[in-house]
Amino acid sequence: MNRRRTILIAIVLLMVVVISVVSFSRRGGPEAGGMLPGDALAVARQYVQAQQDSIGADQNTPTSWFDKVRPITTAAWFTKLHPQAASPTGSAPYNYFFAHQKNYVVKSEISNCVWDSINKPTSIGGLVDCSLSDKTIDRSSGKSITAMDLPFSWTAVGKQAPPRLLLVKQDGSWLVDGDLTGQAQ
Amino acid sequence: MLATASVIVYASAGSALALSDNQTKVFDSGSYFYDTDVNYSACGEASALTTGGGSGASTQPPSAITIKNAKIVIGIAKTDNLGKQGALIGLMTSLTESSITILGNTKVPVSLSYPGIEGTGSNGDSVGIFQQQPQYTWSTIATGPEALTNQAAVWQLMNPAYAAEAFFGSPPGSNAPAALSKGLQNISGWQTMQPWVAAQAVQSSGTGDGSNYRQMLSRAQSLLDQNWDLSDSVPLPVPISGGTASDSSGGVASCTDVSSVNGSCDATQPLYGSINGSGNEYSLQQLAAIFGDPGTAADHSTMENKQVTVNFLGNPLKVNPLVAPCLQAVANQIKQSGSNYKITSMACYRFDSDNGTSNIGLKSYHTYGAACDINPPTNPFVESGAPTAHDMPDEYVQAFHDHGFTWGGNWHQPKDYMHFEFNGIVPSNGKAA
Repeated sequence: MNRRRTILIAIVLLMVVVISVVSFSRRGGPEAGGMLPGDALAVARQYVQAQQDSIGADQNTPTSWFDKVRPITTAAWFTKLHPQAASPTGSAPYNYFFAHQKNYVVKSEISNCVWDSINKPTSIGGLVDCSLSDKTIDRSSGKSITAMDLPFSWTAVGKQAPPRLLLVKQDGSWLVDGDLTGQAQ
Repeated sequence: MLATASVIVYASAGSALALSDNQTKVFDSGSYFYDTDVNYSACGEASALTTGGGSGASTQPPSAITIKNAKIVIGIAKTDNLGKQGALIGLMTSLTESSITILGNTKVPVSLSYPGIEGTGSNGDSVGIFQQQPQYTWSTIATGPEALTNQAAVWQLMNPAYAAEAFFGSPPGSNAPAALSKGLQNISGWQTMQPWVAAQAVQSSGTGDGSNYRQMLSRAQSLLDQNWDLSDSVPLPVPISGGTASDSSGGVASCTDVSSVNGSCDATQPLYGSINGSGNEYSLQQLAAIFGDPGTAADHSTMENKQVTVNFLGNPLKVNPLVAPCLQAVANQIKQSGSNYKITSMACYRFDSDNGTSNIGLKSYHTYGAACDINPPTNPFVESGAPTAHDMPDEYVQAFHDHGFTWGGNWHQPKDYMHFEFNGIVPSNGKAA
């Protein structure tokens, strides 16, 4: 009798251990469609914000945003992002001059960042999808500029194409390893 | 804007990311191929999906100057037979560079006396609507530092027609001078690149991933839609002879190669592809067994060449020969229903790259010519699976279903309202049910 009871208890304990391990392992890794860890979320937001900032009157050069994202990008992606590092001349889109002429800056709202629901993320990386909306602000007055008061070619106002960033974890830090915005399945 | 002859090679530098214990997938984040945001041009009626920024808010309409110059860009694209795809890339690029305005440059004094000048910038020594720099061999008249003081060379770049001609380049094999041999047509595979990647390949701007151009895609699309029909072909300021014209189709059939469809459609419903699934229900082995060897990203000519053309309600589409009879039957049923739904963009076959992220490579039915997307701008792909507004008519869904197609709008997660894929064949015998 005691032996049967011991076996029964052992089986129950084994089941508890197995269930706990499975449950723990499921909680431990990132899930497709799930929320990002705080440090990964911060990296994604920082990258998108810097990219959107790039044309604003608060930017010293059109490529200032590269300096901001360099610490949070992989070397491979940074090289691809900034292939003209040795160029004697910068590259300035028209809106950069417009913003400096008007003293406009861009304020972005980055939200709903989740792991991509199709490509399952791993503990060392995955694809991140976010929502993005921009406001154009008059830096002098602090007022928001309405879309109708902006020229046709000015895009930094209203809902934007959802950012899609590839994040990888290197040496314990999350880094941006690609920008796949504009691509869908 | 720095715009040199160098071409950025995007397809080589992928980064490896371990997906699981026994699987490593290369995220080739620089190799872009179309998927849902493809330009589905068809007989001048279709357009590209607007995936650029700033799409949600109404803005000022384009200025008269922008429209005037946009028509010139479109006109040169028409002369070069680059289709809407080429015109879109030209508009997107020139919108980014100059808001399609003829800009002089305070650092290039001779530019300021150009009779048609419409504004002044100070970026490098860039001038004109594409911000081409005279010293970097964009002009046929002079190059190098001396070009900066050569009025004829600078003014040539401020002529919007010439600037567009230089941007679009010349057909490979033509006798074009160097200044006209580094444009879009000279970029191998530009038709299947994401538009902003193609733009960057020509311009070599300081933002290597082309995201600066991507921002302007939706604006360019709008401009194209409004002005394509209103724009006449524009003669090339520097005539070019010889060479092989670019294929601007990007895998989409032209209006002149519509062929008849052989065989009949035996499918009466999809046999695979649960409405709960992701839709990619055939395995890779089954897809290849049924539809043929898809090839690789480097060489998929065999699959591409076997595609036949279906005239789908006026839209010539390349599809797998096994699918063609059923797609034609779908079109016939829709026509009989009296549907007045307007197809503005539609495509079927294309080779989807497998970059491990947004495109699913050989798992994509498009890679085999066995799936079609209709009007992506109004029938979105929704990864979360959340019900989303779309305008796919019931009669379309029914007609596709009745001939063996699964609709992505019926999937639980994700939802792909633009997408129909053919699942009307029994894999074991390779025949339609």
